[in-house]
Amino acid sequence: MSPARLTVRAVVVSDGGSPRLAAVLDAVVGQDPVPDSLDLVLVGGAEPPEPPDHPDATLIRSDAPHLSAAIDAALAAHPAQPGELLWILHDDSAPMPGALAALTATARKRSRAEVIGAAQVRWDDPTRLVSLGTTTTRAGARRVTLVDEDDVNQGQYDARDDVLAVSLAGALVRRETWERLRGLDAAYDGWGDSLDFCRRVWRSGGDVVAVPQARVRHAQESLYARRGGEGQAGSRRDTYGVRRAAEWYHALAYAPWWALLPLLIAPVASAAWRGVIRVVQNDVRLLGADLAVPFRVAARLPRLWESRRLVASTAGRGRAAREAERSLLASGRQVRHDIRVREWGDYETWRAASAPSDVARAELDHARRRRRQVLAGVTGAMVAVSALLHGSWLLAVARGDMLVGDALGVTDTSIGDLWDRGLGGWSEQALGAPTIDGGLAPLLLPLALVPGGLAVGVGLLLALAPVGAALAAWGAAGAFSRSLWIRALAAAAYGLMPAFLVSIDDGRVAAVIAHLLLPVVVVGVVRAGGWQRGERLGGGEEFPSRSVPSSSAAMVAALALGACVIAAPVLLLPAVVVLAALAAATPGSRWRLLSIALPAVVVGLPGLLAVVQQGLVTDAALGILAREPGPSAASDASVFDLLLDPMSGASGVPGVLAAASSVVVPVVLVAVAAAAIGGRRWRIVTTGLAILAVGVGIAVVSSSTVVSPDAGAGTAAANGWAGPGLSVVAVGALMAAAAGLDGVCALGRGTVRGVLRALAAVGTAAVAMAVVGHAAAVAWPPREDTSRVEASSRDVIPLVAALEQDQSTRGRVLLLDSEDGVVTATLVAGDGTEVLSTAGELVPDGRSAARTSGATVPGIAVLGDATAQLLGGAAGAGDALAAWGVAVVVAEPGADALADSLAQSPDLTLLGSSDRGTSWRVSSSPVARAWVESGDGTVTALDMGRSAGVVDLTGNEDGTLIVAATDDEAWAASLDGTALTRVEDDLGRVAFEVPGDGHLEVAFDDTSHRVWWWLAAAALVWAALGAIPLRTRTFKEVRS
Amino acid sequence: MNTRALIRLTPVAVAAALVAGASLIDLPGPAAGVTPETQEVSVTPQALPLACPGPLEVPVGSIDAGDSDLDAGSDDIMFTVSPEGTPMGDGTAVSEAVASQVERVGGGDIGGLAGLSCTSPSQDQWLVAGSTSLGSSARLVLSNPSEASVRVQVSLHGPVGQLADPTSITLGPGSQQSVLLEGVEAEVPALAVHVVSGGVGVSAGLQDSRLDGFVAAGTDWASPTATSTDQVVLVPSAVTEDAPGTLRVSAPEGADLTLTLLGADGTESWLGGTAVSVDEGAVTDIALPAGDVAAVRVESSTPVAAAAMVTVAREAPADAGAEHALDLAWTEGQSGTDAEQGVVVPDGALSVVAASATATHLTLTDESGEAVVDADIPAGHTVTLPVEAPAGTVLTSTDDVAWTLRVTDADAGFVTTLSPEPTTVPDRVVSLVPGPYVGSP
Repeated sequence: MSPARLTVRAVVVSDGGSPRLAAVLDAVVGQDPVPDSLDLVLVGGAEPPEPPDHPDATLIRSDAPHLSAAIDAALAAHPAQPGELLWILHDDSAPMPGALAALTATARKRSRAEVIGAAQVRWDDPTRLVSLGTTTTRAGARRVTLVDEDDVNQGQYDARDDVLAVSLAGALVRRETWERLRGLDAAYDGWGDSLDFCRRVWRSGGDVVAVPQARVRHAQESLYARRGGEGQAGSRRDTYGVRRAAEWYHALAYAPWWALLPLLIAPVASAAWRGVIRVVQNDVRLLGADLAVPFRVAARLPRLWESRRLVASTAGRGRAAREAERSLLASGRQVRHDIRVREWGDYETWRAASAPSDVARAELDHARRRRRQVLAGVTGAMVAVSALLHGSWLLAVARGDMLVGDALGVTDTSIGDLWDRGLGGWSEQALGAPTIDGGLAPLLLPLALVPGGLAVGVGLLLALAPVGAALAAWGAAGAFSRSLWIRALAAAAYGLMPAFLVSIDDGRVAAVIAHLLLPVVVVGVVRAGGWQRGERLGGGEEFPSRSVPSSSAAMVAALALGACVIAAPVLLLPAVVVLAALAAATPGSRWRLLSIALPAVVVGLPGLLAVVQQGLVTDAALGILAREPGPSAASDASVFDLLLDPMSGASGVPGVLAAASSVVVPVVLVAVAAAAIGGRRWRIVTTGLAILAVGVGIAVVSSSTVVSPDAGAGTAAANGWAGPGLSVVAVGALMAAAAGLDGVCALGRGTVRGVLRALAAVGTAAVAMAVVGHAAAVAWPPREDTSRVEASSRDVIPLVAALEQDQSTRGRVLLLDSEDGVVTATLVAGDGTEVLSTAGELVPDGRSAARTSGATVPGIAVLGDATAQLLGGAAGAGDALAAWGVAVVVAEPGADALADSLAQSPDLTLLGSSDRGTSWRVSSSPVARAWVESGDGTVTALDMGRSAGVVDLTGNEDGTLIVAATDDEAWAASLDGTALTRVEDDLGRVAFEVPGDGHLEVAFDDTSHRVWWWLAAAALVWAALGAIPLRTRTFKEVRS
Repeated sequence: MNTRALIRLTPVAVAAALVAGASLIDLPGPAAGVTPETQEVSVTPQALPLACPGPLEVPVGSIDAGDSDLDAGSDDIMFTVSPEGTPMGDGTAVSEAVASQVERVGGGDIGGLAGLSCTSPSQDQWLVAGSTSLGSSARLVLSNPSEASVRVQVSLHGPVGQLADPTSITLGPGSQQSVLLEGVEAEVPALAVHVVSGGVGVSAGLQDSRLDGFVAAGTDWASPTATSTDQVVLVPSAVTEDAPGTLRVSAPEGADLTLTLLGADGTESWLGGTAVSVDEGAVTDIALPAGDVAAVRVESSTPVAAAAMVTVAREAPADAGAEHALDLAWTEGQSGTDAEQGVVVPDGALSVVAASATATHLTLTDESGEAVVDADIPAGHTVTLPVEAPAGTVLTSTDDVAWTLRVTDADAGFVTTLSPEPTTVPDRVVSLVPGPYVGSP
């Protein structure tokens, strides 16, 4: 039942933080009819404004901590009247004329409406809607608005009435309801308290009605964090965290008791998921806000009990009220719509606004068709060249073989071993060594995921590298020029760069990877800076007319650069310097450009630390800086020879093609010079030339430095390969030429244009002839094969020897071959020499680069005497071999004389002979990688993994644990959890004192390495996630 | 020119600076890689018995013609191995530091003295002796005194170089095998045999028997010799028209030789001082000039193996179709060593023939340390020294002199030589180098 007359008490609350209070008061007193009374509550010593022109205006000062208390303070001053309505207004919400009339009309008409909300519109543009009712999901953890923000109010929502909730700013609330429900719940801190209040209204039997005709201008200063004065720079992102926390709190307050526990976990899961999304969106600020949400929720939990009691105590009608409330909760469709609008609305608006015109779109479609045709042609040609060049590799990989080479080693390492190598930081080369970083393992892991394993991954990588490099260069050239000629020639020249082909032929996996990824880095950096060329349209325009810097592109560059630095650590410092210079020159994109270097720095950090530890300017430090993870092989060609014509002298190529092949690089350099002389787009051309110079420097430093031996101390050490540096040179040349020569045809007028066009045609033809001639020379079938890589069966050592390695004792295998009276000895822990992932990085004099202890890492030379004894017919070699865990000695196929010598040795027992060699077991018992030698002479072997082992000891007294591996500080052993004491071993092995029985564990446990590994992994995964161009997906939706 | 135009010159200025920099600055060249260090490990092998090849065999078999002058074989055979050992095949394994085998066959096809110092197994050895021409027989005897099988590669070299592919032979533990080389490659007038084996090696000896029609043209055992670029080959018997002598050189890699004749009166000129060239893998016979006991110093550009064959002529049986019957003796080249070497003295008329390019001294002592021979060797001289020692005496020397013990039976016109063998098993040097292994594709 409703009283005959409704009285309206307008309550305006202000904390003095808004400059709009006067406007609000004017708007209130300007209503027709005016509110019956007007209470202005000033909180916290706010300055009183001009007194409003209202007969019943009261100024109330209060120190209420929140809105609800302030309103209560106003109400306390005036006793309730029948049919009294409270018109709650914030100091940034000004009713528009007629608002009150519309509201009161509804109040009169809908007697059960206890909260009557107004449509909120933008303060500065009342035609745009801000809010017209809100709802929430069933769980209550997401506030869903019922209108799209900034939607133009065309009366499309005029039919709306019952809603789950309205914003109380500008809403009429029956005073009786306000008092019955005890006002707003202060626990919400002002966010979502309207929703909570309205839901309680529904549950207590009242209705909540929105009145679209009543409009209130709302500046939403709290939402945009602009309270405290005009010009306060804020955005709604600032309040995102507290709002999300309030939503979760709301869900907790309304959840049935059994859902409380899941809802306590949910914010954490949600924060984690949203965190990933924020990383993908490259939004660090919201990432922080999202990650803070669970803590914010936790901070509110003490008040949850009170809030739940409030909900329970004020809810009235039970099931029926719940039914009405439930029907107003958001549907799945509404939620999806809300997410789309909220997350990607801005971007969609921008993309839609900058979409090309129909004419331009037709041109773009035409250009795209041509581009795709040319790209398909270039790809096809490169595939053909690759197939002619290395088709045998592809066939070998297809039939299950692997590629091997003296430099490359074997290539079928298992993914588990790669992971152990990367995470553990222990290299199994020779007798083992600690490593600086994970070597190539991080890059090999994805390759090992290829069906068929690493052998297939590496095989495909090497065989198809020219295709990959060409595609990458196509992309990079496209950032500087949209000319298909330039792009095609750049792609072919880069993909078939002579020095790169030599890298492939030598099996230098790291240099190949660096060559493939450098153009990707360039594209990423250029797009991150927004410097890329748009598609050329008729009339000299470009689409898009202004390139927008892209954070996703920056992350692509960061990921690619990180991988490049793993492959070629020497690139780290130059890359950081170049990026810092670019960042210094571009204030707008400074942080985006600097962030590109971040994963690379994290990845390269251990290397830099090692450089510092080894004394910065010493030979050792230089060797670490220029180190080559993975295969390395000596090259005595000078950098310029390698750059200009490293493939000359291969026989079997017709003279014309050989000539074209030998001039291809000079011709490209002439094109670069032409670009420099032209002086167009001088910034990019200059940058390109600078990068070219840096590349020469890198190449010179690499090739003049001797790097660590691949296969352990004492084995061959090569000089660094100039390949990565030359790839940098190529990238610089590509930048300068593509940017400087782009659009030369369209320059000038009249004769000048004619001359330029003729020159461009001649130049293009010259480059094209050189590139095509070079491609033909490379792919010429009768050409002499200069490759140092060949296909081989995946099983290398005899099966009996491999079986011995696979046992839990993990014995090593010593392989012997003889050539010209010199015996070649190889010590392997796996199936053949593995150098792809090894690189224990030794500095001159055989110390480990990862340590400062100065202890020499023993190499295969420690087995020299024993090996010679075996071969020389002397007895006593067995114990010496067993001391280093050598379980099997193999005479390689063809080494018959050696096999005869070994057959004479009393220390060996013949295991068997096969076409993979003749194997003998070292007859010393037992041969293991690790064992405990008890005081009474009993020997117990450990179950060993790659770098960790366990055994349950019984009957041991005063024993010694020996691990037949290089001693290192990171080895740790424990007996029943008690750490064991290290003892000195004469041979330099790992040794611990084992005082008694129990569960013995020993492991190489390098904490700092592991921490770095996960940090680097996190940095790379972060970059990989950030590289996902999430937003373009929505752009496509708009276009469709 | 305005600033804009100047700015556009930046790239060309940078490019010019680059080119200038690259041509003016002396950039460091590529560093040489570090090749793995080859470890030379010296190993003292387990001592293995010496192997003596055993009795001579008559190439055509022991044919009894009824006429003692025409019999191929002979009943007058005296075969001694000193000190005694255990049988190994037809031969003997002797577990002593030195041993020798001497056989005197009184007549028949192989009448003569044939002896050699028994050798310990070796992996790479040259036997520069033998012929497979008509009437000649070369029997290679390989012995494996060790307890494991050994694979042996035998390759034959003749005047035109290496003949055919190497023959592979596997010898069981403690076994012996003989190969008639005329069955492998016939009609090779000058033969050298390269024996390469695995394991600890094999002992090898070569029986060189020759016939001139029905008349014996000499038989002797040849011992292995090592290749060297400077060696002295003793010619332990006078060379005459009736009893010619030959120097045989095998050059595995081809060599230019400088030959110097060291006579009893010092260095003598020979061949007009011209150098002799031998093709790769070829074997060359050079007739020795007539003269008394001498020696030839062989200096070569690459390592060569050399030996000298001398003959002693005796009256041939009447109507045998030849004027003289011969006995021959092979003496292997010796390159200088001061390691202890020794021979076991057999029965017979003994003398030591010694030569040295430099002035030095030779002392031969017996087991008690008493000097049996003690003489100065003038530079470039070959001296013959009489030896008085009971059979079985071990004569040792540590002097860097080429010497051999000549055993003669002047009445019968027989000769053979026993060259000294090292009394200890020399340390073996194993060269080790680390290297990768990725299988044998």
